Formats: sequence, C-alpha cells, structure tokens
Amino acid sequence: MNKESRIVNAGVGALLLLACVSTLFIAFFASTPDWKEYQGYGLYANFDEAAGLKARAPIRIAGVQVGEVESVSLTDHYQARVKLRINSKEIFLPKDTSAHIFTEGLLGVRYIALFPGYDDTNLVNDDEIGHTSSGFVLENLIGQVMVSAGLNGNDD
Amino acid sequence: MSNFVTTLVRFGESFRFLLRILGAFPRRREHFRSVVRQIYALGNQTLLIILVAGGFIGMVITLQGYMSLEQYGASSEIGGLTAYSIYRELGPVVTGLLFAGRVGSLLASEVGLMQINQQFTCLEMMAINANRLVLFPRMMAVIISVPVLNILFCLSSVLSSYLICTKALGVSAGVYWNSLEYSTLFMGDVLHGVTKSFIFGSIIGWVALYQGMYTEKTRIGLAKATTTAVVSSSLYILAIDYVFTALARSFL
Repeated sequence: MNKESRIVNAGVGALLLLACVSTLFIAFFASTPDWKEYQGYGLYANFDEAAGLKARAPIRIAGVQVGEVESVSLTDHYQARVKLRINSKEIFLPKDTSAHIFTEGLLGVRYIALFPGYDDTNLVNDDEIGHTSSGFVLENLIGQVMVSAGLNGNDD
Repeated sequence: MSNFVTTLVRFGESFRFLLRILGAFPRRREHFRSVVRQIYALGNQTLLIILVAGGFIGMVITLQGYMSLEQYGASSEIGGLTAYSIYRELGPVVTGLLFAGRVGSLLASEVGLMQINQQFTCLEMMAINANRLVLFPRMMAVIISVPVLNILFCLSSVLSSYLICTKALGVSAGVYWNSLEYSTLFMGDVLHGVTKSFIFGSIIGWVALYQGMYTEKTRIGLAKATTTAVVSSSLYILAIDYVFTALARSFL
C-alpha cells in the first residue's frame, strides 16, 4: 500500500470517526435521548377544560419540574384525558393527590401542578388522579366581567 | 408540446440512469477502495467550508433569535430555538446547498469532460463497466458524505451558538443546555434532519452525474451541464425540503 492511499484512508477514517463522536455528543448532551426505555411511570387525569394544554407541557410539584404531559385526548364523556409522565420512580404520589392546570403568568404557557395529599397508599403506573380542577380560560373570565358590568350599567 | 415530451424523455432517461448506477454494486476490492478515495475527495475536502459555515450560521441565528426572544422576556429559550431550527431545517438544507455548489459542479464537469473525451467509450471497448468503476463510487461517496457533514454542521453551529451565548450575551451555560436538551428530541428532530440530508445527498449525486453523463459534446454544453447541475439540485433540495417537512408533520 503506497503512502498516498494511507493518507486517504486515514482521512476518511478520521471523518467518519468525527461524525460518530459528534452524533454521540448530540445524542447525549445536545438533545433529549428519546430512544431509551422510559424510567418513570405514567398517570391519567381527566379535566373538564384543557384550556390549551399541549403535549410536552411541564408537570410541577412546588414549582419543580417532575415530568411532562405525554398526550391530550377526548374521552367518551367529552372531557379532556391527559396522560402524564412522571420522570422518576422515586417520586411517590399519594392516592389523594390533586392535579390543576395553571398558567405561567397571565398569558404564558399552560402547565400541570400536582398537590400531593396525605393518603398512606401511593399512585402506581397507569392510575388515575381523582381530584382535578380545570384550566381557566381568560375569555370566559372577561365575558363574566363584561356581563356583570353590563348588568350594573342597566340599573339606572 | 414537444418541449414537454423532451422533458418527459429526459426524466425517464435520468431515472433509468439512476437505476443503472445503483445496480452496479461493487464486486472487487478496487471498487470499494475507489469509494473510499471518493469520500476523501468529496467529503473530507468539503469539511472546512461546512464547519465554517455552520459556525457562522449558528452565531447569527443565536444573535437574531436572542434579540426577538428578549422582547418577550423569553431569552432563556435561546438554546432550544437555535438547536431546533438547526437540527430540523438549516443543517440539512444549508449542507445540501453548499455541497451542491462545491461537489455538484465538480462531479458534473469531471464526468462531463470524461464523456466529451470519449473515455467512457474507451472503457466500454476494454469491457470495463464504467458504472461500477466511475459512477457508483461517486454516487455512494456523495450519499455517505452528506449526512456525515450534516451532523458536523449541526455540532459546529451548536457549539458556536453556545460560545456566543455564554461569552457575548451573558446566558448561563446551564440555562443554555437545559433549554436545548428540553426542546429537541434525538429520534424526532436530529434523525429527521439526517434523513433529509440523506435524501438531499441522493438528489445531488443523481442530478450532477446525470448532467455530466448526458452533456452536449460542445464547449457550451459542458458549461451548461455544470450550471444546471448546481441550479437544479439546489432547487430540488428546497422543494423536497418543503414536501418532506409537510409530510412528516402530517404522518409522523
């Protein structure tokens, strides 16, 4: 094998190796590795009003992110069925935990806040959260304010 | 009308040409060596321009994105914005365009000159399969190089964006990586881009080799073939990019 083709082979080898290393870097440090087997567990919650909650919205306990929303779908009773993914099996949630849809700021993105209860037994995989409260819709609130202001205006 | 028929004929011709190339899978060790040599000539030699372009594009996206996000008080999302747009769109498209400019013109003129000098006729006279010796290694080298270069482009832009964020804009490293990791998925976003660049690579190789192989055997013909190779593969890249993104949005 002559010298030139050794250089060529080394160059191509280096390029492919560099590509492999950068793929690994991107996979582990610069993106979420979603091919891995999922470590945590899943829960369901039904809400009367999802109010713009979307998949991948954060789930928080006391403001700390513990998971994310996997999907939002419609049930037979016209409720919003939200699948929650809790990131770690180490996070134990009592049976009487309640779920609320909150908003970051007045117009920010929706997220789910969990308030752990005091029950002795914990929720396990695919359990349903019983106590929920819906997201608030700003337009409804404005509508109510307008109606009550209108009624007051008609009095005189 | 006859124009339309001519277009149709050329399209069918180019498709049969592609099948002929892909059917000429290498049999001997020299053919595989020739693939490696072509990857060196086409991929390694394009590395510098890809890395530099990636660095500058990463920096400019970061700077522009930061100025817009700052108005909404969301400047902590800068890492996610940059990486998302680069992994999904800018990485594959810009890599494809640069590669079409540098390698598409090179291939078209090289193969076109071989055709004009009747080197393919000579090979045929010696009963050497030109597809196997000349065309397949070049096609394969392009198809392998473009996704590899796309990954390196993405890495270069993410790292340069990171440097701009931490050194110039005062975003902390933890905030940057956190938003970047949160908003991009490996299978969903990075591999979406890699698939695209694979398609773009095939398009570049196909168009350039076809234009070179079927060039008019005149001085102007070769010039036209080189120009057409770059122009039409760039246009195909942009059009297919839209179609692929739209399809991926509705089906995946």
